[in-house]
Amino acid sequence: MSLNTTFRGAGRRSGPSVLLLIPALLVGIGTCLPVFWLVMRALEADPAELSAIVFRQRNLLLMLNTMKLVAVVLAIGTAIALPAAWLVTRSDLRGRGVVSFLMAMPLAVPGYVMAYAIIGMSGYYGFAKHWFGITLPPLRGLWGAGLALSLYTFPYLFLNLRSAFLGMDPALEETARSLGQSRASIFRHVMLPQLWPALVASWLVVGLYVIGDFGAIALMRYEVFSYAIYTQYSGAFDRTYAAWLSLMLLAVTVAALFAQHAVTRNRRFSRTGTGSARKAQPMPLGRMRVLAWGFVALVVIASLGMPLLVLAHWMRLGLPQMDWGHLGQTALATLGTAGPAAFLTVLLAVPVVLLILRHPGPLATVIDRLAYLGYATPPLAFALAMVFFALQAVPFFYQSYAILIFAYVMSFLALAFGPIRMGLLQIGARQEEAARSLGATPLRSFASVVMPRLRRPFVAGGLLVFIMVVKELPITLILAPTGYTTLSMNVFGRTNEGMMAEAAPFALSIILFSSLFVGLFLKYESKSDRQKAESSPR
Amino acid sequence: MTDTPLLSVRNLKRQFGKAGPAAVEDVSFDLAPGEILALIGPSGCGKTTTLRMIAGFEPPDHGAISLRGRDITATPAEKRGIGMVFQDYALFPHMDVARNILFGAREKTPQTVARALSMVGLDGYGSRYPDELSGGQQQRIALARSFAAEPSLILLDEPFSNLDAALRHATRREIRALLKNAGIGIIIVTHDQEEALSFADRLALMRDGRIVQHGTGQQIYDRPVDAFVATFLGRTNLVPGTARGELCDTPLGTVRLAAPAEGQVTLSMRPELLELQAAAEAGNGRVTGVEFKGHDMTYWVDCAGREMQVDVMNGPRLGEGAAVDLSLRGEAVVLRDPA
Repeated sequence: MSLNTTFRGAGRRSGPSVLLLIPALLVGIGTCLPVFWLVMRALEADPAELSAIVFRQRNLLLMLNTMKLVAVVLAIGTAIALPAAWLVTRSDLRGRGVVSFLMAMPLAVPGYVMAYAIIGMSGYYGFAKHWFGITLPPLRGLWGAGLALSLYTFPYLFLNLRSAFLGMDPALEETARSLGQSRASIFRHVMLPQLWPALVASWLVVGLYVIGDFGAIALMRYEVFSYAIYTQYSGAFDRTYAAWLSLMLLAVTVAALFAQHAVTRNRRFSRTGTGSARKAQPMPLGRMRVLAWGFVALVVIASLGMPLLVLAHWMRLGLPQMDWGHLGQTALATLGTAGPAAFLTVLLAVPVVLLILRHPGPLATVIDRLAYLGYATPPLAFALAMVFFALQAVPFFYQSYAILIFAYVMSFLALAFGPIRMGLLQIGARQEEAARSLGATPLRSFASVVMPRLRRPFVAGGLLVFIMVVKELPITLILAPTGYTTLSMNVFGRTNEGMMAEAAPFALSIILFSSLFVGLFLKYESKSDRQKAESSPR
Repeated sequence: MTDTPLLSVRNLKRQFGKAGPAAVEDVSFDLAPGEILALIGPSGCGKTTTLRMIAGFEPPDHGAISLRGRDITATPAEKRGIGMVFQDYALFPHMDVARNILFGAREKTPQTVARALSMVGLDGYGSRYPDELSGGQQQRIALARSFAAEPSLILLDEPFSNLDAALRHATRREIRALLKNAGIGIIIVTHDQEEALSFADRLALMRDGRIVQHGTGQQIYDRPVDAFVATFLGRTNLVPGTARGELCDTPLGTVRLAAPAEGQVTLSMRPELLELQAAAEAGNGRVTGVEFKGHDMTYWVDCAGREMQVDVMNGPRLGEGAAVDLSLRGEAVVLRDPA
């Protein structure tokens, strides 16, 4: 027999194809670009200037202000989200489904629109004066920004805490009660320790968002990192200092990311063994019911009613001079970049997710992390880095749609991963292998067997990105080509100049689009819950 | 063997991860055209990995695979001309049956669909979708789809495990007849010994990534090489003894050996090869349990402190506690020491 032990061709792994590697490489480079260019720009300062910049006392103030803002937002957010989550999971409050929905809805009112509403309450023509005859002092600075951001972000806390409550084994509370513990003691010693991981994890998510937010704090004129970066960039034109501030902001973000990683990893361990718990016996509220409803009403009025009423009030005032044509044009222009950005993001996400799922290894892990880093990078720092990059490396792209869309794609890529990852996991690799054993090439197998079934996740991922781009402010503000304006830029620009009536229609349009986002978010939240329930007994 | 085998597998090795034992180690065998080979073994023994290497979904670290004398070790799966039917059938859910069948077919004509469907006895099912078919029907469509691509070899990965027991027997017989008529080579992976014995011409028994024994079902059943094979394929009694040439001293007395040996050995004695006789005095055993199974009976006999199973077709009906004389009909098999 001619065939002895031959090693021809053996031992060679068929690695990921170039079709997967090139997109992954693009993502790797794209998400690392900001850091690289910020460092490049920051190092342009001469050594004497450098120490003056880095050790400026103002930096400490900015840091302190940022921390204060984070603390205020988390405190207000938790004060709302924790009782609300308890009410909808553990009490006998009626209409818990509706309450849950209402508590998630404020996600549709972006921070800068919330800020707009708070600012629009006060003032001579303001909502409060017009309808109630009360002249409210303008709420600005720390408390204004804190309120705007916490009213926008508390739903994240709420949704996380809600699923933590749902995942908790009620037998533990019942045991504690049978051991004669008071309700307060049970909450402190039994429930809180179990909620803790979910609480800390969602604090970090919200904290990350607050650190990176720009719109609300700029409208409230509260001096934190991103506001300082913007004023340095747009006013003083001290770009070296802006680069340094961006790097500091980035460092805070990366530190928070590491903390988040550590916490979520621990959470996975602490949750094992809960199994499929029984549903908790709802606790009768008794006379506290009135208090509970009062609380829910207050939260809904503040987070949904107030912005909508204030917007309606200013819409009414502005209606006579309303420029419908301009609104339509702006909406179309917004969609004009959001559409391509969403499409390209999903197109890029598919090969990258494929690489992560089908070729797990160090490369895949790094790309996955980098995509998430791109998402977590404060958008203002990201945009600024893109400016430096464009000016120095590709000047013909400066202030072009290409750079703007590239920035959108890199910062929202991780968002599209979710639905596509879930879709690919559900389809699995079997069908493709079957197609290949029938003689189809890998490309044809993927195109004919996987692609048709990936349509829904493709659309869902695209919509998520699309709506995020519509809401997006800082990247758009800094990278927009001359003469190009979006809905969010109009809200920001006009509110900044006190033109509340003119800003209202743009803000309402954004809320309309964002409601779509919340709908999608809730849909995917419940879907992943179901998956968790299916896999947990094992 | 003068003819070139259809498939020839030489020294295949596959290791997942750097540390730990290999999933498949030094696996070699040949398959003749029209032959059915079963790879059988407990779960985790490497049989599915071997199958996936032959299909081309898993690259071997070492070794060679050739089809009709042509080395295909580095050939991509789609160019091998080897069909694979998966445990969960992997029908394309968004395509109807006809489009599933035509997916890999050489000739994409309505006749191809009709021929493939009539072969598996599902004429007229072309416009159905996979979710409108029962498990057995899906299984047959998956086979028909593989056939339509005209492979020279079909791999079946636990193809009957998703069917219920009644359907499983019928489908198995039908499909065996079908495959035998088509005259192409088949490799089936299963952990079900009965399925392997009734479906395949030859068996390769795997454990810890290696082929432990290879041969026809009868050969392996009658002459298992070690205790693992003897107990995996059928039931047996493992009895120690002292061998001297063709004879061996055991608690049952002196027995004949299938092959000569010397010294301390472990023997395999199939329950149906043992004979029971009511002993006048204290025999060499005592009945400790009786299992009446209709057409035969299984006795549990304590023989010098060792529990032995004895299958009796129509012997004396003995009760528990009865003293018996146990003896071996035919030859005992000397088992290799476990490595």
